[in-house]
Amino acid sequence: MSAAAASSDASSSGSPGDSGTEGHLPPFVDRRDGYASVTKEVSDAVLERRPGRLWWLLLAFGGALTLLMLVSIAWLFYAGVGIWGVNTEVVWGFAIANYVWWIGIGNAGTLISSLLLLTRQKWRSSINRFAEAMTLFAAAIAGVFPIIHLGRPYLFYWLIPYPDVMEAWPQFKSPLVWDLWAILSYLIFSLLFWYTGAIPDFATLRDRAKGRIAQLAYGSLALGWRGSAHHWARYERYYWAMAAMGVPLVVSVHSVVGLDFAASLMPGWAETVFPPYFVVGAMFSGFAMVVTLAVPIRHALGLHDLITPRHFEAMAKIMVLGATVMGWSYLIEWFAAWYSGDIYERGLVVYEFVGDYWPLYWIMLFCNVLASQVFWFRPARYSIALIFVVSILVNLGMWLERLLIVINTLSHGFLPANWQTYAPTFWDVALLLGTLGFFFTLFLLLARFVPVVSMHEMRELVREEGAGR
Amino acid sequence: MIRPLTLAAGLALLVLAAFLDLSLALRGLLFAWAFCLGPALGALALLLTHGLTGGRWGDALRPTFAAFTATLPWLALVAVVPAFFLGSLYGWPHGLEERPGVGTYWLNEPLFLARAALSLGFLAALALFLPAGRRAGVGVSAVGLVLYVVAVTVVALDWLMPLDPKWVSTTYPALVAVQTILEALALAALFRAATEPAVAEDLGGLLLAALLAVVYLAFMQYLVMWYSNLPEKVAWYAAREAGFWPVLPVLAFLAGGLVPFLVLLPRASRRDPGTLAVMGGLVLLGVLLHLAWMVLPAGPGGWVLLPAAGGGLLVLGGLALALPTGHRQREAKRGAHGAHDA
Amino acid sequence: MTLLAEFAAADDLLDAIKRARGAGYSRLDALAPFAVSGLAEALGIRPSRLRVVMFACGAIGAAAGFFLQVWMNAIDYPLNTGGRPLVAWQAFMLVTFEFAVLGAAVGGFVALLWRTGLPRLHDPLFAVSGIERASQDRFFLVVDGGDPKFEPEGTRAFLEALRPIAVRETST
Repeated sequence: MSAAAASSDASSSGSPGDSGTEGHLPPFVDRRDGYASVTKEVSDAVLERRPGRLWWLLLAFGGALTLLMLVSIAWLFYAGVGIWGVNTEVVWGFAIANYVWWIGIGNAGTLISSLLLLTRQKWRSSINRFAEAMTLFAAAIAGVFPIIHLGRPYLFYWLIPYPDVMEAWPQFKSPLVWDLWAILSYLIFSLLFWYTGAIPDFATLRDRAKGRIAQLAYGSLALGWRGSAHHWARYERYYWAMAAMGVPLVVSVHSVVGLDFAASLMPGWAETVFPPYFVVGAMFSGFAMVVTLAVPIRHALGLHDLITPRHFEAMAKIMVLGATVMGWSYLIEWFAAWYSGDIYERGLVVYEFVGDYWPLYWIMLFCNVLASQVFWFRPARYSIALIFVVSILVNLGMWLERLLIVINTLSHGFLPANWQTYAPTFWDVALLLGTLGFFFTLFLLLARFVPVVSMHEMRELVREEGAGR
Repeated sequence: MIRPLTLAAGLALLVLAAFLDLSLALRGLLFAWAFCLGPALGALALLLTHGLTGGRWGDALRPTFAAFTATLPWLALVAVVPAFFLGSLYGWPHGLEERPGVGTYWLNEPLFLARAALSLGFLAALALFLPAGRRAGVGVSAVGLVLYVVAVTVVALDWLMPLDPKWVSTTYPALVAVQTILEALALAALFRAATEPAVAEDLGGLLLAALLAVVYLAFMQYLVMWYSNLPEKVAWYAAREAGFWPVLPVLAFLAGGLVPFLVLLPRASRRDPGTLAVMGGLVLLGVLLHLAWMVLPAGPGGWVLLPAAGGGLLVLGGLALALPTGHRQREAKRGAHGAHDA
Repeated sequence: MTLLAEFAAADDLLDAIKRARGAGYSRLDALAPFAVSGLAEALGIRPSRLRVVMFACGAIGAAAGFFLQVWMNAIDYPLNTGGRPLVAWQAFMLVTFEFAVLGAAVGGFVALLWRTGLPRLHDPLFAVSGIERASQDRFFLVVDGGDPKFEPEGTRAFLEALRPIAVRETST
């Protein structure tokens, strides 16, 4: 039982997604790792290791920013949207830019997890769990913004169809109503997807936990999972079907976000490419966020054997692919504006380059298109520090892009007499930083209580890589 | 094998159409050319993508895709015919009056021909030099794919979009490009390129994904234009809502979209090369109808379009088919040989 | 009483299943710490129809979503917005799609719980010593006491002959 069994394990299961040419690269899981050591490495981070001082410090920092978020929202509800930098022309400011940015990050987790599963990418198992968690948190945060940017946020429930005394129904021809349903379905879907994938791991934690409270908590979450072959068979059917549905769902959700803009008549917004282009942008910024999160998680939880340089190499390749597609989209956008001959479209593109917000535009182009091009070179793909820095640049660039889509068009509409510029106020910035802090707080808590790497999928990988012992 | 009779009939139809109405005949030929070029362009993208990602589907389907791309240089040469009559085809300078600079710097014959020579020449060279016997290297594939996207974008923006003057849609190049990939996959399925169930499953999955992508892009383009309802944008759809034209997309969606989608949804049917072949045929029919709807109703119509499109399909399709089948048989023989050796 | 044989490698489990089925046992199950490929086929578990349920729920969701919109915006509260038709299928497609996915996802999850009998926080198997490693690194072959071929001594001897790490039993 033993080496022979283990090696026959390895040879019996082919590796469809991979071909021989990559054989010289290091594996995605350390060959010395067996089922037990993978299990121990991940679950000890939750059950055994006490959080260090750094964790508490970060939590305090995140908690403070969360408080800032709550104060910003409370003050907003009391004083109204006048505390923001929005004005009569630029009616969408940070709030909508933040919404699009967050939902983009929120979409990427499911998209990445699904696509990597469907294309049988072996390196998925190490990152899918926290990518999905990232999805949940970011989508939930994103959902807050459209509500609080309403003039009367306490009436947001008018979007929901219920038989009210006014005998009116929501208008389903409005993209804003599509938004509600898209985000709602997406939240429920990603919760189910994440939770289903985590049930077997909750069972592992239940079986390894020593404290009574932990046993009860993880036991309840595990729903009595015992790893029966009958259950695994159905689990796999469901999980793969969810992954297959996840891709079109994510595409539809972010397309709806794109349609919030594209369904208008504004120059630069009424573009047919907006829905798919928003999806690509979401994937790109979400991938960058996964990298940004993976580096500290790997370091803090000591998951060096599970999130390897190969993972970062693969993610760097996807980033350069995304950056190139973004560059291509910008080119098409500029060309189409010029080709249409429309003075407003052309004027907007000129305004983007040399108008009021030109420094932001150039920074955005650098972050989104140029920065990632360094990954054409192999040494750059193996430098985790460089990948980390570029991922932060991409996050910044994508946020700037969403902001600029909003404010450039609104500052430069059809009536020159009405042109106004936008400048954020303290509360705009406070709310953005607050939501970032809230996001990281949720993540710190997650890393403390839920395994950040899918243990059962790692075991599967261990068997495939021939270390089944 | 080329059937001389088919070729002669097709040529006769084309010549007849050209005598009756040169502009309509050219548009019909352009449609046939775009359709026949589709598998080659799509297969090129798939080969390059496989060079990047690897995977058993590409190893098994490479001979087929390589055979498709082998038609690219010949079809690129065919573009010489419409290139002589660009004025009749696109009606320049009509539609350029209110767009300062567009006629001077983009839509004029010398620049058009230069771009066509560059883009089609590059694609043909890529098809010729991409190795048919083994997976292309990662570096070559990555650089090739980037340049490929640029070239295909130029082809779509130059040859198809200006058919409707003043119309511009930013998602159009992507729609055209993804549709060629769908066409390549559908044709591979129709030819039963995947014999093993596992490969067939991969091919079926890719076919399904490409099908969803095409339906998605086409619908998004429609939804955005329908919603904003701007005159110069909806003019494209208005021209395609007249007469019997709306029948084409509906038929394309039902026969080439909905039915294959529902049939290929269960894994078992994706693993069966026979079912896959039938569905590939339906998808191909859908692409044909959809492309016809995209290209033919641009500008004044007329029944001359029918013999022109039909003749073009007979000639170009016959030529294109003649090449891959021969190629494919040789590849298949070599493959069978290899299997014996192993 | 139910007997369990514990193994350390997935292939040993698959091998043991093959021999147990060869010996005529029919009410077999296996516990594994991950989805072992080929396990369901080895046990002869029929392919689940879970996806049929998901498809049906998705179709119901789509139909419900579409007709909900038609009824609200064209029948019960018709409102002319921008001169668009009351039944604007173009504008209704996205919500219809979200409803379809929502229906399939939720319906599938309910079906998954239903067919697996979960949640079931107490199971007789949980009382077996060493069972906690079924969710970590061990593989168990489970022979149900209700199996026609089951006899306490004979089955135990059979399982011992498979050279497992241990043979364990439930108390009930």
